[in-house]
Amino acid sequence: MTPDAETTVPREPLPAPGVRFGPDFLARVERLLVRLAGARERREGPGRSALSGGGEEFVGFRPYRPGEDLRSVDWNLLARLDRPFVRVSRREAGERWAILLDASASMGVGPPGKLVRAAEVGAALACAGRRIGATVRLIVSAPPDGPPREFALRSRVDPRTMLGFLEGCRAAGDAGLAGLLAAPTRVADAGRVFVVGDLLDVEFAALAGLGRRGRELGAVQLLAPVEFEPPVGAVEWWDPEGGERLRLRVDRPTRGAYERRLEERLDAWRVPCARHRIAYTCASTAVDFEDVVGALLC
Amino acid sequence: MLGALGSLEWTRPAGLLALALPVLLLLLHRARSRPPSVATGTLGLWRDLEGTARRADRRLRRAVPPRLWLLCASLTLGAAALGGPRLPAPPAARTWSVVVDRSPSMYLSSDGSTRLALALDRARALLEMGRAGGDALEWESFFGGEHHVHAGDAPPAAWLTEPRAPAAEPAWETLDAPGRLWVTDALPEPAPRFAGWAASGGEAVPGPVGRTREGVVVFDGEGLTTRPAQTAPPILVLTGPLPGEVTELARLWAAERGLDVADGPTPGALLDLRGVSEGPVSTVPVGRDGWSARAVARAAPLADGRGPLVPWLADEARRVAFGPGRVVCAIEGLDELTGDPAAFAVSWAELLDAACGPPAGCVPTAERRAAGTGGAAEPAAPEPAPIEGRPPLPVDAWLAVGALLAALVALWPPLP
Repeated sequence: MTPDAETTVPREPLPAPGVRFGPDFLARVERLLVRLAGARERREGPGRSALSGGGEEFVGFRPYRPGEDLRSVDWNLLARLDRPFVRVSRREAGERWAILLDASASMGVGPPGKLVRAAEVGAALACAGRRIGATVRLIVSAPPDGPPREFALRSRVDPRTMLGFLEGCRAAGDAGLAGLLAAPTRVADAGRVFVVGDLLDVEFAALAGLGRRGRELGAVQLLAPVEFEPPVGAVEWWDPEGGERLRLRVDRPTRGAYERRLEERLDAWRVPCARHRIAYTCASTAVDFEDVVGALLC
Repeated sequence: MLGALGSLEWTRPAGLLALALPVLLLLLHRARSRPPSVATGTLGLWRDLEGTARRADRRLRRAVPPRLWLLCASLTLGAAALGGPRLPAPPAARTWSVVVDRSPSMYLSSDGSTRLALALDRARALLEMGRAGGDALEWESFFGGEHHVHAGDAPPAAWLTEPRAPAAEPAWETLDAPGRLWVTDALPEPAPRFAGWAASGGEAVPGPVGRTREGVVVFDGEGLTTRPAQTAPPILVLTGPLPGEVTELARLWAAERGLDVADGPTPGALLDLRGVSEGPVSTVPVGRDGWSARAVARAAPLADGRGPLVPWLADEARRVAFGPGRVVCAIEGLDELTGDPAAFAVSWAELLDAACGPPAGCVPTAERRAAGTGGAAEPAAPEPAPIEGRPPLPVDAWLAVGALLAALVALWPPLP
């Protein structure tokens, strides 16, 4: 510990501890999902979708939802019943998604706040799963005074309820994704598992431990602009989770060294994720959630 | 200089509240000079870089830039100017006046010293107690009809020796004022209300009090006795044109006083009654003390070789004047003398008495009588008189100018 560093309980308020969705958030998500469907079709060709589970065993029909690929509409059924239905594969019908959200105190760093952007990404992913009929569970890391919180988004559940659940989350405590990843039984039935957070307190191995046959994994690493491009000059850094403070005079060479170390840290996720075919994206919270989700799913 | 600053008076003390401004400015600077506190999730990376990063230099952080010092100085000077500083007015000058009684009694020996010396000692003791630094001191005496004033810490040495001609006691009742100290042998009646006094006191001093045709009159402490004269009688000299009535009266007066009369210049004469023979003659009405006459007269001089002369009889011009030891009479003849002849005689006899004084060694009886135990009383402090001089320095204006200059230097060139 240096003379300028001290470990204390943080008394300063976090820059962006809460979550608040914009009034047009769900509309933005809807436009995003339409855009993603078109992009996948152009890239993968008709008859196959990374999210819909196209090409697998047919198990039945479900009503068509606006925005879905028209090629999935069963035209015979439409002719007979005069109502659009889409074919549902076995995988889609029984798929379960799990989205793990980091809500530790470090997610209150910003602006824009990491927790805000993580909640937007998580909500958008949940809507994407709901679109294909999957049951999506949002699992938020444990607050200081309780266990992790969960919310299940099913097809009959109003997405606005999910937004209310997320708006009740606050960045606090030091139990981040590490705690969630350490309990794999929580996501045992999930065919897809996404982790959303700054991934600074967890190693790739913890995520890789969730891997099993037939399960797809995804990781979203969100960092605040101040973490990507720290200011030059005298700065007193403080860790919201441990309360540790470090007063440094940052000059450009020091900032360059920091950025190199950060790049190494990000590579520690990027490279193994690519090797294990795990969807991974890293973004600044200054980037809109649409771009983050798009980069993850496309 | 620092003492003067410490004694500054503030005419608008509320303005000094503005002194809080530079303090607030410094506190604000200190608060703003703290490095910004930034929350981060990458503190571990920064800790790894701590060795290569330059640590925040507390001294550098707390250093106040010269411009800020100048600005604070400007604000301080401006606040001081708002307070309306003023140098205290210079202490008002006070003048203590010591009125010295130079009558013959003051020069009589008493306990090996003169009453004047004893009274002056008591006066000096009083002055040492009452005077403050910077107070002026002046000495006054009334002698020969003139008012003498001497500034200094001590009276003139000449005042300590008995004057050739006896002086009357001052008119004490006209000298009762704060800051005045009477130096005499016995407290006059009535006692002063404002003036202080230092009286020597003293026992009766026997000795000759006068001379008659029978001899020398001697005061023995209780009464008068006449003893045969051991020395030649003093001389009255009559010269120049004089009215016959005056000449006759002067001879009678001299005979009564035991004086010989000479008709020409005589060295050592006690009194010289001299007629004026030069100048235009005119006939004018004259008179005083109950007599009047028409006089053929010239103009008497204002002074002679022995000093100024005091007018005794005058109309539009001086006709008779006198000084110690001499009477100058510019009247050649008197006609139509009216009034009581005794009044004429008494009037002229008093003139001759006033001019000649007692013979050498003679002191009037009243002067020789005991003067009591003496004593002293402090006078009321004199009224201070403002000292005229340079107007007080406009301290607030100078401070305001200083504040303006400091502000200009601090803010020039303008900060981006």
